Amino acid sequence: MSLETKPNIARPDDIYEALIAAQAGMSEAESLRFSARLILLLINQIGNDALVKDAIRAARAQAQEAGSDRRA
Amino acid sequence: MTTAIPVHRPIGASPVGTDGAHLETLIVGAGPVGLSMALDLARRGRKVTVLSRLDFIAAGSKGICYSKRSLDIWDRLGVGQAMVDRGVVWNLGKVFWGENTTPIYEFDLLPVKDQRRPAFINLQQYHVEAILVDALAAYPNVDIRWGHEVTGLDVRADGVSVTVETPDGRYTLNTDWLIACDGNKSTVRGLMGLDFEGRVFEDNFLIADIKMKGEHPAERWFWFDPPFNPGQSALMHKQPDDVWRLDFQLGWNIDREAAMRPENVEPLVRAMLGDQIEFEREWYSVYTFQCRRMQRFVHGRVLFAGDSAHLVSPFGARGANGGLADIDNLGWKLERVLEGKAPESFLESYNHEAITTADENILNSTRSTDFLTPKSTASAAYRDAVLSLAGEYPFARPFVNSGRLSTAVSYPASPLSTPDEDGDWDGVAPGSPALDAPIGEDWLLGRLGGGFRLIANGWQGEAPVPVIDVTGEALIVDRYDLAPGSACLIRPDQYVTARWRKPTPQKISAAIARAEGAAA
Repeated sequence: MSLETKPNIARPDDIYEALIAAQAGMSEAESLRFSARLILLLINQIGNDALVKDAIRAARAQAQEAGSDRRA
Repeated sequence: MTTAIPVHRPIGASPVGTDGAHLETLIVGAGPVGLSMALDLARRGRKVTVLSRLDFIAAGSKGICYSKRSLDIWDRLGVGQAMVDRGVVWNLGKVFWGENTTPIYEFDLLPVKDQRRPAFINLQQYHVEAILVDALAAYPNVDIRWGHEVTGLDVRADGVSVTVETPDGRYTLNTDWLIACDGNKSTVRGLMGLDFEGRVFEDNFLIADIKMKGEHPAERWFWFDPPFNPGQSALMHKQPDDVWRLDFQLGWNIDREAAMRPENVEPLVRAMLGDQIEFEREWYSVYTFQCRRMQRFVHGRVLFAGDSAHLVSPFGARGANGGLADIDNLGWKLERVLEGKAPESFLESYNHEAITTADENILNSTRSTDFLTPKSTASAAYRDAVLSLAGEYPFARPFVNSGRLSTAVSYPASPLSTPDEDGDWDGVAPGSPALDAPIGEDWLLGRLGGGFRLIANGWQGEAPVPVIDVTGEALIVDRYDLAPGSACLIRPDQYVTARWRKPTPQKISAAIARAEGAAA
C-alpha cells in the first residue's frame, strides 16, 4: 500500500469545517496540542508504520519548499 | 581529593608494585564492570591485576538497577544469588501524570515468565562491589591493588607500559593487555587522547537517596508533571536497607550547588511523600547526562569497557548493565586470544558487538530523554498529547516513554553467527541471547556455563561440545523451536550462534570455528 494522494473523502467541506470548528477559541498552544492528539489518533487508526512515515515525508517536503510555511 | 568521597568499606593502600614487572592482563578500574571482568577472566584461569584509584569501596549514590541479563551474567560468574539475596526484586513500572493517582501506563519488564531471574533488582553499587570483591578473594590468580592510580601510559603494538602512583611511591609495570574500566572520566582514554562523541542534554536532575520506613511497593514509579514538582518529572524506587531513590527533574538554568543543599532538597521530599514523613538523608546530588561513545572500543592492546567507552542517561538503567554486557562479550574472546587459539583480530568482533549494544542503548536512552525533556514546542505538545490520551485510550500508552529499561541486545549482523540454512525458524535466532526456562529441577541458563554448549532435542550424533538434551522439555523446545532432531549451538557468553534442523558434527565444528574467529 502506498500513501493515498488522490481525493479519498466524500465530503471534504464537512470534514474541513469540523476540523476548524473544533479549534475555535483555542490559543495557539492549545491548538498545537489538539492537532498532536488528533494526529496520534489517526496514526493509530492507519496502523502502518511505512504509510505514516510516507505521510511525514510528504508533509516535511512541503515545509522545505522555500517560504511555503512562512506565508502570513 | 579522595577524602571527600564517602567510604563504604575501608581497605587500605596496597604496597607499591615491583618496578618493571610484567603482567598478562591489567584491568584499570574496580567498579562493577572492572571487578566483573576480573571475575570472568579469573574463572577462566587467567592471571589478572586490577588497579583501583581509591583504597576503599566508596559509598554514595551511583547505579542501582541491575537487569535480568546482568543477573544471568553474574549467575555464570557465581555471584548471581548473592546479588539477588541482597537486592530488592522488581518487575513492574508505573507511570503517573499530573494529580491523578491512577497510573496512566504500567509495564511488566519480564513478560516472558518461567525464567530463574526477575526483570531487575535494585542494589546500591557499593553492595555490588563488595560482593564482587569478596568473590574475587577466593582466586589466587587475582591481584587487586587499592590506592593505585594510573598516571602515565606508553602504548605499543605488543603491550602497554603503565606508570602507577601510590601513597608510598610510583612504579612502572608492563602488561600485554590493558582493559580500561575506569568510568566516564576514564584516565586511560584521556591519556591516549581518544575521542568521545555524542550529545550532552541540557537538563539537571536531583537524586535524593533517603532512608525511611516506607509502605510503597517495590515498583518503579514515575511521574510526569506531578503537583509536587510541577512541569517536571520525578521517580521513586526502592533500594535495600530502607533506602529510597527519589529523582527530581530540575530543568536547565539552575544553581546546582544550591539545589543539593538539604534546605532545598527536603521541601521537595516532603511535598512528594507528605509533611509527616520521617526520613534521613543518605546522599543528595545533582547530575546532568550525556549520550556518547568512543568511535572504537578496541585500540590495539587497549580495550575499553563500560562507561569509559559509552555513556547514556540513567533512565533506562543502561549504564552499568551495558558495561556488564561488554565484559560478558569480551571475557571468552580475550581468553582465546591469550591462549593463542584465536588471532588478535578476533577482538574486532568485540568491537562490533559491544558497539551494537552501545548504539542500541544510546538510541533508547536518547529517545527517552527527548520525551522527558522536549527540545521544542512541537515536541512538548506531542509529549503532552500522548500523556493526555494515555489515560483514556490504551493505544497511546506504549508511546509513554519514562525510560525504556535495559534488556539484552541481539547482534543480528554478527560475523560470528552462522546464518540459518534450512527452512523457517521461530524461537531464539543466532546472535540473540539464550532464553532461560526450567529444566528438570534446574534452569537452562544454569546448565550452559561458560563454554560452547549444544541444546539438542533427541539428536543422536557425536557432538564436539557438551550436549544438553531437551527431549520432552516442551517449554524449551518451544522457546528455541527445536523440532525433534534439531539443535542449537550456544556461545560461551550464552548467545545462540547457530542452529540446525539436521545437525552434523562437521556443521557444529564449523560453526564453533566461525564463532571463534575463523574466516567464514
